[in-house]
Amino acid sequence: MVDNKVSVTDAGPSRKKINIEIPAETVAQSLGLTLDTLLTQAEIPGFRKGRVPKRLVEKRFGGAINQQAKEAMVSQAYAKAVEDHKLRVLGNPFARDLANSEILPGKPFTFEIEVEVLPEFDLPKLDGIPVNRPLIEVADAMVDSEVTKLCIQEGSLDERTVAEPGDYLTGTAEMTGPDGKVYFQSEGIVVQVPPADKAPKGMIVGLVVDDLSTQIGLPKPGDVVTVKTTGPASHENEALRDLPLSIKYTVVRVDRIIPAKEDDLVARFGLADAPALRAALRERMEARVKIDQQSAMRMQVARYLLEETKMVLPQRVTSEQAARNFERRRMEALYRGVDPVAIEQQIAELRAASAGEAVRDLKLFFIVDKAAEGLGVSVSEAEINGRIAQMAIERGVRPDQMRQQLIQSGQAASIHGQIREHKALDAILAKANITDLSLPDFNKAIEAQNQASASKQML
Amino acid sequence: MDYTYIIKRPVLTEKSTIASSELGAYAFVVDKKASKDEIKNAVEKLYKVSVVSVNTMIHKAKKRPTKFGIIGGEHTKKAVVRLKDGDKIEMF
Repeated sequence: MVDNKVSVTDAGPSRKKINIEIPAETVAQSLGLTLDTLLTQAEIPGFRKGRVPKRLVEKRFGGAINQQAKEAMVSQAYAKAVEDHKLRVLGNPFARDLANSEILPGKPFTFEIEVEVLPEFDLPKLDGIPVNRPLIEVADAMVDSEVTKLCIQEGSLDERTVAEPGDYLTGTAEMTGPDGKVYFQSEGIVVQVPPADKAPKGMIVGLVVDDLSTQIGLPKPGDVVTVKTTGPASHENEALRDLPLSIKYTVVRVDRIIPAKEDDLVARFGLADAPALRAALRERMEARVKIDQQSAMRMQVARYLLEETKMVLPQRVTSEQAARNFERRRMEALYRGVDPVAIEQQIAELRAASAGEAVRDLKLFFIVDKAAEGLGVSVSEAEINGRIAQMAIERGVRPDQMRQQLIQSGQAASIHGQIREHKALDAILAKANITDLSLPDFNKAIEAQNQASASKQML
Repeated sequence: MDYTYIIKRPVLTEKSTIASSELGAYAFVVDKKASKDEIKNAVEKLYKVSVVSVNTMIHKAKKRPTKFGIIGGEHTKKAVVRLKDGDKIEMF
């Protein structure tokens, strides 16, 4: 078998263009193989299965044979090119003209694929990184606040005729661009009228709007409000970036959450009394504090890695990179037990964040991936199940329900990446120089680090 | 004359394919009223070949009972045309 002609060229930071020419002999061989396979399977009236003449199959299924042979050749040639050139491909490859190109018997087949690859860079020294550990104690006030949050979470909906700040609106939303093109349309969209402490900032269809309370007002069911905003610079849908958008929102119903009573919670969770509820909550919070402590230390390691690693990155994040960043953040928040509404708020804020922040996230992803590889980090099935079980406890659902939710929302694949990232950072933390600090001292130290980073960036 | 009015379509089955490759006999669905001479002329003019013999047969359509009564499709006429040695028709 004749080898393919492959050339790999740079197509910008962390992108490569792979040009592949498949020789005529391989094309003929692949077409012949596909036709032979089809000959044994084709069912045409008047012929028994496997007895259809070759020429008739060629005439009837010529297009399908070409397509099938092309797909098989392209995937084989691509996989071989990636392996031979030792490319570390991230995400899906992108081929612009592949769909329109046709294979012709007796002629070589040439195509071009663009891929996103892990950039080349050197990792900094990973031993003895200075890290501060916050010593957090679960105070009674924290438990009280958790009880209040739980009362709201377990509360009931009360339908209202007019909205007030903090109420939830359910309705249909239609997002259009300046040319009238519809980018998003859906029913059952929930919007919270910004509560007094957060107004006028609010969130609608995943976008943070700085003056939402002014634009949306206090509507009644049946009202139609139009919210004007601009697409965030780092939105995963590139078409929406920096685009003036108009969101037409039709309010169908208005609800207010009436918080459940503490006694109701005690009965609902099958506990003996209020102190038992508080004890259970304290236990859960203590577990969460440990996670927060670990997260705080991981963040310091991440900052160190970002500051000490020199790498050329793309000017703009692509839609896949942005989507991957959002998934990582969403999974991290889920792991830390942040409630779903707050998670979506965080994601909306991340969309609105500067492009620089998205690129920073991307850089960290590359660094940690390389560190994980260097440290020989691997993730087992049991670890994934354990993480799902932990998330399920935080959410108060069964592990199988949690697993189902993650699969349905397409987040299951991110768990593997998250565990790998955590394990890599923990392996670095194991060799770090850790200093225990009280919470106020820790906050002061972090503040000082932030200022030092800001002045370093200005220089 | 429009010969396509006489020759409706070739019959493409396993049996007809074997007959054409081994015996030089080709099967066509033809007009019900077409005579053997007309079929011979039509095949010769359409495919530029010489016909040695024509055998015809009527294929009776199946009848089936429905709630509206017994219905059935139209009968069709099939012709098996044998060509002179060396002549060939590209069926597909």
